[in-house]
Amino acid sequence: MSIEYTPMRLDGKRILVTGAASGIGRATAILASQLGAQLILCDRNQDGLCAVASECPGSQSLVLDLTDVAALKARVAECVTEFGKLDGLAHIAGRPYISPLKTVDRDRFDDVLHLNSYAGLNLAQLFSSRRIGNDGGSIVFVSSVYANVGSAANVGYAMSKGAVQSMTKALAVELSGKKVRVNCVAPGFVQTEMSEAISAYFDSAHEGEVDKLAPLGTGKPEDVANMVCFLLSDAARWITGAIMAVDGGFTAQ
Amino acid sequence: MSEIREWALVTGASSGIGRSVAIELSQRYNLVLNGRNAARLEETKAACCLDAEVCLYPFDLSNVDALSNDFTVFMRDKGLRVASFVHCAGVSRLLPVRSTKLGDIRDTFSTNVFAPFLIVQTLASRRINGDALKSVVFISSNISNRGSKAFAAYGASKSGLDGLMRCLAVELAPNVRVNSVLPGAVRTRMTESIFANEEVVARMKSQYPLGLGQACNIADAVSFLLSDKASWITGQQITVDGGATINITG
Repeated sequence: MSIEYTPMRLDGKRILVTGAASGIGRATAILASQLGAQLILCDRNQDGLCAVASECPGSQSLVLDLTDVAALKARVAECVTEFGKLDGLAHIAGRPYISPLKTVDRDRFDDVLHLNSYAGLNLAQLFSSRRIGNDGGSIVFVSSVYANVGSAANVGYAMSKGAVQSMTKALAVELSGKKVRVNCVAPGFVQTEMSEAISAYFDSAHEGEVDKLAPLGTGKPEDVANMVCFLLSDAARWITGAIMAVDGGFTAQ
Repeated sequence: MSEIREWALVTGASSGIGRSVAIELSQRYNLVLNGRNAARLEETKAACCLDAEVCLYPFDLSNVDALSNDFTVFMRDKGLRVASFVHCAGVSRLLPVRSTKLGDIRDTFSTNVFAPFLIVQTLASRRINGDALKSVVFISSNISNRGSKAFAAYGASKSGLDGLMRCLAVELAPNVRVNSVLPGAVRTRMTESIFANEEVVARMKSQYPLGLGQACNIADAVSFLLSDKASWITGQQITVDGGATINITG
């Protein structure tokens, strides 16, 4: 056992994590809590959120549909008034949208954009307000390698995650005056509830192929959570506007 | 739980980012420190954590013809197994294309590209290093993906280094992870000539949303990439530059 690495401390930092009930959001919440953060956990899945909250001592839970902008603003503001101003925001909630171009449906695509892109923008807007977020804070968005590489029947998801990367860079410059850092993690194929739902679309003949996509195979939620927490921590204090691929080497090929 | 200190090799450890990386890593690794100047390597060693075993390897990496042989002999003599390698040594000669000589290009590429190629080759050799090598980080530059006046040789070498990084990442997976850190302007011995010019410093400051950086900012990213917290990250350029490359507002 080599000596453990622990410089990315989050002691005393108040951080809002969306999508905290499962997958990468859940792993991030648990790791951030272990690193000393006080958390507001946000998800629409109440049962999942309760389970995660029990592993994050002192956390507050916010059962919320992030696509409901009015509710989002009111509830987060209310929660922060009680909890204290935020030092970090990790917007991890997201949903896939597998559909060939021919069947892309405006309403369903809107739902995906509302959660994957607009919710991040609304949260950043809240975070940048003096009532909600502290100067010198850190925002981390989760995009996807599919914002950078093409794949069939994935146009809606790819567009929603591409927007996240553009938003990251624009906001990094705009919010630098407040010393708020804005970065983005672009995961490859990670074993989560969401990716299992996607795998259901794959032909059974292709089972096991996913593991061969990346030189280091399929990832775990904790692999991505490590990078999210690094970017939230002071170890990343000179990093802003960066897109960090955590993909087992998928995009290096 | 017994804690075993693995060995890490840091090139360019006599000053700047290399020294800062060495000091940071000495908290949990034993170190092989490479640099041209033995006296300055001793200064770095003196600043390292006392728990770390530190071994000096003074060698001029631009001497690429002798490097593989010399480094192999060093590894054999010390009986070392190196788990992590950080290439911080860099040559930067800022010259307009018209006044760049072949020797300038050769020296730049020797230290910045050929040397890390040969060192990884040696460390990936089972005969010399067993299967000890786990993680490699190259210090590239945020110029790697961009263009700038007087940066032709340096910029090309850093793009070459990142190309090498990606190919090594794919070829050596899953046993070895290989990544680059792309720093922005950090004041070191190497960049002293740039920082000596107040006009240039003022211009850079206006382009860096989070201000100019310090060597420890880079060392923190290196430390993260080497650790098992980054065990699914390979083949990536990690930019640490205070937002300079994404800022076009100046």
